[in-house]
Amino acid sequence: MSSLKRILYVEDDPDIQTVAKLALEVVGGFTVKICSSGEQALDEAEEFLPDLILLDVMMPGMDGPSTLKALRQLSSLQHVPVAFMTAKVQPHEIDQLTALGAESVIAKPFDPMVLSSQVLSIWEQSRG
Amino acid sequence: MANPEQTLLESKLAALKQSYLATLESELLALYNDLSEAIAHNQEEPAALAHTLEDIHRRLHKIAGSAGTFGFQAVGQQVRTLEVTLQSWLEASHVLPPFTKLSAFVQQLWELQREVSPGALPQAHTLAEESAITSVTIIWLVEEDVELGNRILEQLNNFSYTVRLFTTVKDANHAASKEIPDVVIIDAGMEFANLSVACPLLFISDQDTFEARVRAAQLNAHGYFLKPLNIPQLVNRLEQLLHDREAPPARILIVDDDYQLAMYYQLVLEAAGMEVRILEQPEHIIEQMSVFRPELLLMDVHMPAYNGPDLAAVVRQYEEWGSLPIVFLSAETDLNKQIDALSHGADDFLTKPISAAQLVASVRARVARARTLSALLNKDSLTGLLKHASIKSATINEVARAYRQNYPVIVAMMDIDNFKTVNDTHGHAVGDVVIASVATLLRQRLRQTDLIGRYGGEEFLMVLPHCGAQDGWKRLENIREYFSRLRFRQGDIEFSCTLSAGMICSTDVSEEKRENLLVAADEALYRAKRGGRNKVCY
Repeated sequence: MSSLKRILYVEDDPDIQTVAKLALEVVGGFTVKICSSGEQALDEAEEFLPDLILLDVMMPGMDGPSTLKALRQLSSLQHVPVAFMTAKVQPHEIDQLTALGAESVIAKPFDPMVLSSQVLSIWEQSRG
Repeated sequence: MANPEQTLLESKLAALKQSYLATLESELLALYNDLSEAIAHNQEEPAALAHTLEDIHRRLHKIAGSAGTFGFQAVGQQVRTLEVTLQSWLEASHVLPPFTKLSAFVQQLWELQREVSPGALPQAHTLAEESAITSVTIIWLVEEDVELGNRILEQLNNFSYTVRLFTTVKDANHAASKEIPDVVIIDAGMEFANLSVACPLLFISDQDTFEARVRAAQLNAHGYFLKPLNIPQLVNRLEQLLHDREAPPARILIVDDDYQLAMYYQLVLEAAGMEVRILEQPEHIIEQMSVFRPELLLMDVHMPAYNGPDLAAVVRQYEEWGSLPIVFLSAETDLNKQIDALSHGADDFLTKPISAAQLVASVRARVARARTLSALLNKDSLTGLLKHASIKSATINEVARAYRQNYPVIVAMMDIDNFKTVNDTHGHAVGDVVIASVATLLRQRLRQTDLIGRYGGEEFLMVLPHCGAQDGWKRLENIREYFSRLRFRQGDIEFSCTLSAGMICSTDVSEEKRENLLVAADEALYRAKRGGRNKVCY
């Protein structure tokens, strides 16, 4: 029996960090951890044991795709569903991102009132 | 839905939105500055410029992905468009876009920044917006004499401007990195050559020398005022400047039998932001003019059916078009024929072929001149509002149009309470400040499409088209309430004034009795006065 509780969000923009945390915690009732870079996520993700990971695509240093690749090397995170967050929403760009092993892509800008339900449906999709 | 958690969430989101707006504002300004600087300095070094462009692309991408989350969807989409444009340039090999494209890009960024910035004037006034917030005009005053500076500041506050005082040019320059004012007023006695704030400048000075005026002109001064300052005059110029920025586009009517050429002129003038129509049948010139109301007529001399000078003479037979600028455009180089055309009522002669830039400049200058002239003729010099005769005839026209097109219109009269006491106690100069401040308030609180006039000494007449009784009453009540809270300061003395108003809505009067609207508004005003003043009667 598992339900979605713990979400790790890797995002470098502090404004987006705040609003996403608020949206996911208050609207969705999830437990949220924010990492400001791919590097930080690699250091701290295993300890947090996320049920699902949200990854910003464009970040300085390690970008979203390389963070995904590195996280997959960690045994405890091999099968955790991942969704990319990106302002690039061209169909071919989405295909490229999902081909990297992500469950789905969430378009930016997101609506803070519906982000939780988007995340939940990605979670259900990954289960079923 | 309205449970406490929901309310808390909403208030938190609102607070985040507010702080994001601040970020957005400064980031757009920084983008604008960075890009302008890179273009200015790296023309010779494409590699450095390309590097900056990549950085700017990344930052635009970030805004495109976040603005919508905080409720700024429209800004996000515009940034997205800029981002895509920039991306296409960056992807198109290593050839950088030409300078003209880059500067157009910078211009778009600037406009976007102005849109977001809270000091910017709103694009359109609607009834709903109006009741919420009126735009704030930010004025900077650079004056080393603190005492004088504070006195001017107090006076300008009477006109509900937000004024900041700086005692050095350096301080003003420093503040300009965070905020851009709408207008800067600077003392000509200061080292103003170093001032670098991108907005219109007004000079104040105690020296009226030709040299000082030339120095001001070289810095693009929009006005030069001598101390002691006549505040209503200064405010008038301020309002004019602020109004200019949102002035409606110039309306140009083109008369040319060469349709291709007319289309070309139309494109050129429209690209310069003007509104252009082409007259296809010369027989209908007067009808078309009364509908389109052009501010300038651009006309070919030789046309098969009727020639230009004849048409110009016909236009001049109508009194209302007596001062309309008429400009001939022709390949005519024969001086005698040109003179002949001018004697038929034309104002000027432009020789074909004419460059696009020259055409735009000529037309723009003439329209601006015509507007100034018409303002002088029709507007009251103290308040900048329409004069008695002009507001009266404008009211008759507007009321007739409202009945014809079947929309509601409000006619309202307003009067300053116990104005004679103000004059007697504080003197006429102070009385003028009070009158001018009512005028400014009316302009600020009413829409651009509303007509406002100074009907008598301290009496104002307003016409509010497309406005129902309830809306109109709220609007006037809002003005009355705001004015009663204004504090006037004159030296050590502080006082306030109140307004009374009466209004009538066209929906309450049948069309046959439409000329009674003015009388009815006046009666309502009288009731307000009798009922104790400081109120709006309907």
